[in-house]
Amino acid sequence: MIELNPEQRNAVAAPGPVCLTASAGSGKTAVLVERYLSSLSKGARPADVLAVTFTRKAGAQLRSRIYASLKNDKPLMAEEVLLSPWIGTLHSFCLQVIAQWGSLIGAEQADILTPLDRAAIKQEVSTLWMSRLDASLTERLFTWWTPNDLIALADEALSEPHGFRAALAASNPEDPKVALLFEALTPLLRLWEEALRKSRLRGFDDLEDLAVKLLRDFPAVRTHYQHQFKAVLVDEFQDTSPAQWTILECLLEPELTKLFVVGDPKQSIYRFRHADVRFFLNLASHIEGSGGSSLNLSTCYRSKSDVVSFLNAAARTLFEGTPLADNPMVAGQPELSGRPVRVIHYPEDQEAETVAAAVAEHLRQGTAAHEMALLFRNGDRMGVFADALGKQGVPIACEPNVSLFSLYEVQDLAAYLRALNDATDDFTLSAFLRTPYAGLSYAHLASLKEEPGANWFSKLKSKGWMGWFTAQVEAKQASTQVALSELFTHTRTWPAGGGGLLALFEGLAKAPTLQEAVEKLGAWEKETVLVPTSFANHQAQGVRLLTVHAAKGLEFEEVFLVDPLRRPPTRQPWFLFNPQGLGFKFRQGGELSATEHYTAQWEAQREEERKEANRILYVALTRAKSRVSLLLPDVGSKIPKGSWADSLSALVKSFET
Amino acid sequence: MSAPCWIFEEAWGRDLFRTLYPHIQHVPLLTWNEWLETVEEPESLEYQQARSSFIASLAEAPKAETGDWLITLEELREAPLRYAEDAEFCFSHLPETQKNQFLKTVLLLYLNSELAVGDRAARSLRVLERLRVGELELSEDTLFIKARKPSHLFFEIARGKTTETWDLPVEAPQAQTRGALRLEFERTVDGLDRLALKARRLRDRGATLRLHYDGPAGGLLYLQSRLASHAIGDITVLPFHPFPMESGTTTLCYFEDQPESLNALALDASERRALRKAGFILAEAQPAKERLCERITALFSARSGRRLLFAKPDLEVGGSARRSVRYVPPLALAPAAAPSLLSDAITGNRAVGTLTATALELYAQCPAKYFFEQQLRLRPRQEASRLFALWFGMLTHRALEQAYQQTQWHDLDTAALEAAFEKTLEAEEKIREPAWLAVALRTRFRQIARVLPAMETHLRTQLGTLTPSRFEQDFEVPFEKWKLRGRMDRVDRTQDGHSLVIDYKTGTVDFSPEHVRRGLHFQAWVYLLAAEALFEKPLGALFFDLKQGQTKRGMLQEVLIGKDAKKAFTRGHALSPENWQAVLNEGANQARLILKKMETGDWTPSPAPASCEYCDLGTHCRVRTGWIGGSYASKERL
Repeated sequence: MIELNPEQRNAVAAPGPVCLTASAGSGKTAVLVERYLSSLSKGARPADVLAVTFTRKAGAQLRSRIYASLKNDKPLMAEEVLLSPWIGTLHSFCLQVIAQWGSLIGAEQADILTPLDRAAIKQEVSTLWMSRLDASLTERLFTWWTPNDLIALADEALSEPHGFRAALAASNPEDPKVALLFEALTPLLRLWEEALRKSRLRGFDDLEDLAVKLLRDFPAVRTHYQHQFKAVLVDEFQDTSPAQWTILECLLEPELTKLFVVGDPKQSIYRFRHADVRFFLNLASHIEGSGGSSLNLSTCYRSKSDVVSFLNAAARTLFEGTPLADNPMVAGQPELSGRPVRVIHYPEDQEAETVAAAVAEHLRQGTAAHEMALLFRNGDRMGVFADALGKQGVPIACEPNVSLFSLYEVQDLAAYLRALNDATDDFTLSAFLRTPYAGLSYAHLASLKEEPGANWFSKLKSKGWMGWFTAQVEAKQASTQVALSELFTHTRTWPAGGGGLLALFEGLAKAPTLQEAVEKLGAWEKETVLVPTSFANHQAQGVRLLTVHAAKGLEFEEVFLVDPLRRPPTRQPWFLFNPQGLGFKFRQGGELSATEHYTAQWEAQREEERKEANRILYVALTRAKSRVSLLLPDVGSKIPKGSWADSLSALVKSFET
Repeated sequence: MSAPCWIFEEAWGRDLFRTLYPHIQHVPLLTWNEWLETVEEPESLEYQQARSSFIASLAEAPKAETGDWLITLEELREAPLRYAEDAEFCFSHLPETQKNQFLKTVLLLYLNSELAVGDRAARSLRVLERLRVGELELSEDTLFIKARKPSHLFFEIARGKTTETWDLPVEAPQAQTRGALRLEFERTVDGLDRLALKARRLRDRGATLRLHYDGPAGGLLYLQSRLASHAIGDITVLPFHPFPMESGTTTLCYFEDQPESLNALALDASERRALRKAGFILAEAQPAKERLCERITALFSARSGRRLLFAKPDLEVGGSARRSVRYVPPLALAPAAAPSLLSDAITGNRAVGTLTATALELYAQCPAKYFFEQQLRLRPRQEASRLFALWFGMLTHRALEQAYQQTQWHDLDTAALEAAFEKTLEAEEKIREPAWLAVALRTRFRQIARVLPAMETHLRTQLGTLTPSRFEQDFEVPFEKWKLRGRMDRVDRTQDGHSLVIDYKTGTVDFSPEHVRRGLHFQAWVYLLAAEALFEKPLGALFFDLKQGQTKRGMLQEVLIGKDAKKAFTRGHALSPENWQAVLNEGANQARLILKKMETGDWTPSPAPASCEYCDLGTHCRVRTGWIGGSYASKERL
């Protein structure tokens, strides 16, 4: 058993409900494990304890730590922990609920909608919707929006269909523009739902909705779980959304006694998934008011003591004037790092090179590569840094997400499937001929053009080139799977690829015929579907390149906060919605205008985003054990407002004084 | 390492498995090579000791001066070779005989490759074994291979020879072998290159193989790969199986009087197919293709049979190792394609046909784009969202032509223009579907109908009376030894008989005479060239920006429009006589440059992030897909 400090022991033993505010690196996972074990020692079986984590990975980690502490003394119990379905994300809980009770509301078995599915269905549905718009409706829509606007509108509505539908329903139907949107977009949403039902898919928001429906409307279901669970543990509670809280509430009625939540409101960074930090703060005071305990874990074991004092200073500046500014951390490690903060100034356009040189220097001085991390607010510039580090010979561990169709291997395979599907289309056929699978040169294409023949396919045949391919086209096999295996058989090459290729195959497995495969490929090319890939200098033990969101829960000797000039995105969407209604933009006499609701929401959102940006920065800083390296542009550079550079230079100044 | 783990033969299988079953995280999933690396530390002390003792043994027992192999395959197999430096070091202790050089070359091909460390030396040995080289000698232009057993021969002949004969002494393994040993190596490449290599066994025992090559010079050196081929004298040994697919390539090496000896050969599926086609009877073996098919089927269907894979593994709670693989582009290029991968351009003079301004502009933007779109006429099938812009441009031009031909310009009001557009819409049957298309076109045209009369009036306050006199005028003008063609939307005549070429633009007009000078814009220049040839007194060319409702851009002769009118045009668009001539000359220079480059067949893509992003030809030109001129380029380098 791990040695706990008094704060932690208190948290493990406190009678429920408990709301535990745990600072970064204060050992909250250890407390969760002990709390779980203490429920077991009070007579509960693993099947009676629900432990909700934020990610599957965190769930697996929790499970293995509980398993490890049980396996010697109680091997049977440990085995049960391994098999318990109740350790994992809230979505996996929803899946279990639907699997068991779904038939009550006619919810059939369905797979989870992957980003690839989403892109394909979205494309299919919006094309169908556009083609079905009748002339009179179009005429009226075109008063306010252009055809391209409409495509963008449909796209946004489908990126969050549930929220959109609710907001549309809550808006004032007297407003002619709202009525018009209602008339135009309701069929779109219906098409979307039909398409999902037809392909037996379900998004995460559907999962939550169905689970809520089952738990709220069916007392039998609700009481089943209320009786079953003797304890409910929730990790990372600061990132819980209202819908998720509704589910938890159903499990806990009539009182919250079984509840044990852990979180840190300073680290709430999932606003884009509707996480609301106010929720945590309200719950804390509610629990305190209703006889439960609201406790703190404030001893930080992760960072050295001078790093902790820097982090406290940072929190004071970043959260000035809010309740988050109170409650500083206490250093749990007496050691000093000597130089907790380092500012690296870089000349403009030399940022990546400067960072790479600094990292290489540290490697030479003996810091292990995997103990260093480059943290990004947004991952899209990772490639530049990966390149610069590669030039310095630094191994990196980074599997960034890139757009599926930016990958060579995907483009080449797509060209093949498209050509096979319709060899009479000269354009697609010639694209395939240029892939390394066929490898025809410009000269070959030119000589093919001269060959007599109705189309390029017949030219190809009369030349006698690519015999296996022409034979395959003529055999008219329409199976994606056969097509791919033919390709790999004849070229004897399986293109080894990172995650991108696997995502592609995963997606294609759901498109058994070539026609379906080609349609999906078209959708994936248009939509930016992100898939994981890896860089050339990738190694498991390399320097980590991560976004702050991906770094949640990790710790490193030294972190570099890079890309500091990046500002939060300022693109204004067409729709802004909340449960109170829908705000939107439209054109009036060629000029863009917006509804009042839109303008108000935009302002509110900007304010919330600004606050969240500070929390993201805080999470980034607290990943460091011994040192934080801050990248700042050379003096005299223009620093955009709201960027890290902006906040950091203020931080550094306040820390120095 | 004794911890339980699952081992996959290849990385992709493992990665696919991981994607399909993400929740299996308790067991490390390793590829064979990763597993090997975990059990065998590459830079361990043991390894270092083994290496130095091996080298010491070489030094102790030099097999010098015989001119024979100084290291046998068996010895090599024992040698702790992992990296190129090991081989270099190893062979630096051996006399530089040709055989040793050959061995070293093959080894280095692999050790320098991107194969997994554990795999490198093993793969090279496998190739050497496939070659069954018992003895090998090299001279300037001859390869002698003493083959213990007839088998595949992998080699390649250098360029520069048109006919060539080699004699290869072959030691027959079975003394009783009679008849001729025939070896055929034939490769027909699309009429561009042709190679026939024939070998015949000359004598019965200790026979000599005569290889004869008859073909054009330079047609043979190809099959570029990431593993650069290494040449020994005139012979290039390929680091991989050079006959990847049905392509008119057959390699046969068998005893004619013993057809069943074929079965002893390690034949691949395509070779088996080729043999069967040629009438040989082969013993049944499960072809590689079927095996691969099965494997893929299993992986694809594994989704549905998910539960089967839940057989409880011996769980060890712990982390998982993950190593990702890079995209290694297919090495096995179709031989049919290979020859000219060395140079991706057509060289030699070509005649350039009659060109349009668009063609010149396309070439200026990207020669590859011009090559595919104009030369090969390859264009993607249009989709609805793009159709809109296409239809709108076409119908607007048509409607305006009709309206101006039927009505005097000053009688043309919004209603008349809309009526003309309505008529064109009705005449076009293809735009009935989808329903919104016609509505959208009409709505968009309404804007033009609103601003056009005002534009016309405004223009006349600047330039005086203008009478539309010609519509949709096709032209073809000579330019030095070439010809240029195009179509003028409208030609207006001024009071004093000057002609003004008018071009309708439904999109944004962002050109300036500076673009002509820099060779980026040719339309105005071609108009002026044509106007000078067709009309007596050209005034210039003017672009109607129908989107913004402006007539501020074009190329006009300042002297003909007067100082006051000049102000109505964007700065630089009304030109002084010197500038007028300078721009025309510059335009001609730029056009000449492009036409000359076209004649040499230079289609090298000129990638630019902004234009490549919206280009449909990425797979064709291989800039975005990173394969250009026969090798893969990293995207970051662009």
